[in-house]
Amino acid sequence: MVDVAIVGAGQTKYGNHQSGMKGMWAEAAYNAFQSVDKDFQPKQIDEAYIGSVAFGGGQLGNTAALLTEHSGMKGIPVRRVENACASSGFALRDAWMAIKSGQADVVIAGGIEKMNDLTPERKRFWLGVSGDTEWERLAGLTFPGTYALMARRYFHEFESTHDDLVNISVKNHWHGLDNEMAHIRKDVSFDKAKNGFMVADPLTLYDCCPTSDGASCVILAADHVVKQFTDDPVWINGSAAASDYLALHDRPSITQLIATQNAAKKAYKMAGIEAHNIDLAEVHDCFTIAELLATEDLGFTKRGNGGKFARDGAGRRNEGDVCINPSGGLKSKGHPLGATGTGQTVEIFKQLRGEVEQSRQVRDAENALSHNVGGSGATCAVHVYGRNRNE
Amino acid sequence: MSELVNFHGYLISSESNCFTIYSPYIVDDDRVFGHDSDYTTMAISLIKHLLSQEVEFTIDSVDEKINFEVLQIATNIELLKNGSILGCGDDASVYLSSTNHSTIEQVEIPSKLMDVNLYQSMQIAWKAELDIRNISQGAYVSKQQYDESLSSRLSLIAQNDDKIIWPPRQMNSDGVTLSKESTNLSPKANVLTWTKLSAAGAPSEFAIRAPILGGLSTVMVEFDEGPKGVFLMVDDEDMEPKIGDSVEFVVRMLYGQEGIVRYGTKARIHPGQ
Repeated sequence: MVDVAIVGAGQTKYGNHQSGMKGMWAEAAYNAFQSVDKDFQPKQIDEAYIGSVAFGGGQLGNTAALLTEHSGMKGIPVRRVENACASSGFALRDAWMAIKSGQADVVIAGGIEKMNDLTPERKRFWLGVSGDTEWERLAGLTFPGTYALMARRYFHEFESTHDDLVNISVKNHWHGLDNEMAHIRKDVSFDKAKNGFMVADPLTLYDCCPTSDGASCVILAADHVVKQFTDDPVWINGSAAASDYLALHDRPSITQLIATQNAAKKAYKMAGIEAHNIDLAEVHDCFTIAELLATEDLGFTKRGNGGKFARDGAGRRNEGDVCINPSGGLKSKGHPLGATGTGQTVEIFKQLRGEVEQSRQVRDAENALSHNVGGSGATCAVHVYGRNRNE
Repeated sequence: MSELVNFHGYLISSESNCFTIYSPYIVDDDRVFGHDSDYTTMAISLIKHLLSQEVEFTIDSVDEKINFEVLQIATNIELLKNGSILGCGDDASVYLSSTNHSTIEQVEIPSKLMDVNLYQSMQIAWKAELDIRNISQGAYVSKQQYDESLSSRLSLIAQNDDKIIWPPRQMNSDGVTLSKESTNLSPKANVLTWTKLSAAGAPSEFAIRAPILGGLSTVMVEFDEGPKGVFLMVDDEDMEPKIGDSVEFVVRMLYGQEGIVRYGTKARIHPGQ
């Protein structure tokens, strides 16, 4: 069966973006096109998959057709992919499957979200829309509250405290400090993160990702056309996804994400490697507790040991076996919902090719992983990447 | 002489021909409703109390200020001829009486003083929330969607398909449509975890009241029968829940939208612990 490589990747800076959706998407797509080492034209694209929650309702229908027509891709089959914050992780998987199926050779996967053009009053209507609206929302929960429930229970079940989450926040802010694409670029001390404004007890402001605008775009190619575009591709050696109960209270356990575990197992198996072979991972740290759980669910440490993993600084850049969130993660780089999944892939493409800012380059990385979660874990896409093709 | 009982955060007096449920709150010498109570929520608690005490009664009329549809789903009562009157007092009280309520001897009811500014702010907030023009601009639970699981929401009715299922499901993994035949979950459960969400992060449905209340407290609980659920807390101003606490469930107003009050179950730290 055909193998799939990434031959180009680009994104906007995350944050408060001056452009609207069309401008943001065009910027991300342009950056992706420009990143291709050899000649590349938008007309060479066979299909496009664009992830978006369509936050705010500005363009709920036919989002992908509008965006692609505005950026030189008129006429190709397109669709919006929606799976909450995992929208573009699933768009990436759909694009990968399109090539795997043999029906397409060059496919775009991307994502976009415009969030900061809403008034605070209007924004409230769109917070937490990916939880179980009827039961969780009407119990007063948006996602800070949902993840706070998980954090408190985790502290109760295992030897861990909020200080472990503070370490994650400090690490990710440090990782994102030199990332020119990051939303929040500032060094945050342990004391500052520990004593931040209480958003949802026990989670403070420094446990929560920001609300970001942003777009990201990656170009996938079938193995038999890769050489047309680059001699230095990044291979997608494993792609898997899973789903789970939407509502937290329906799950047997709320201190692990079964969708992550199931997707990761399949992705590792497909790639022929294990967790200890991963050199860097972009994981879905919408809240610090989410990163802690991810380090366990993805197999970087055993269950119940995520607090110690964070406490020991095991995920810090060039200090441990694996670098967790070299981009700064959602915490520092930002979280434009639908753009986040393929934004993780942009970071991995550049890290594995040695193209990020020198100060934050992960050394000697061969294998990488992206982990994109929808809501509180109802959906999850995991991808495993390699400098080398998994033969 | 009347006997007073604390129940669901209210006070219930019982005399030979009359049971009355009172709000405990007083503002400027007037008895007033609590933050999320009204005649309907108090009527539900009164009926649930009588049922729990196995008091025999029938009702043949219900004051129009009480939402009978909600009352019926929450308590499963039916109207029968020659029964008692379920009526509303001039203050924040509801009575079930076989005689003219005005002849009932008034009893001394213990009271909690509520800050007048807090009370007025909540009244203004509810009025704004229940304005017909208060519509959703995003997340939305329609009346049909809400009503589809109203019995599960108001009276904790669950399905029994080898194991107890709540909230309800339509089909099991064998492709079999699940029966709506039901069982009631226990009226008590234990706290698994909890949070207090700051007002700024509250869902839009609670955006007007959350700043007045200083945020929203939510618990996840586990019922003895197995299911778990998340519930807003009530009467928690002076206490913080702990994992393992026992809670009881009360029907209160959840939120208002498009001129309609949406009622639901909230959790209350069990007074017996």
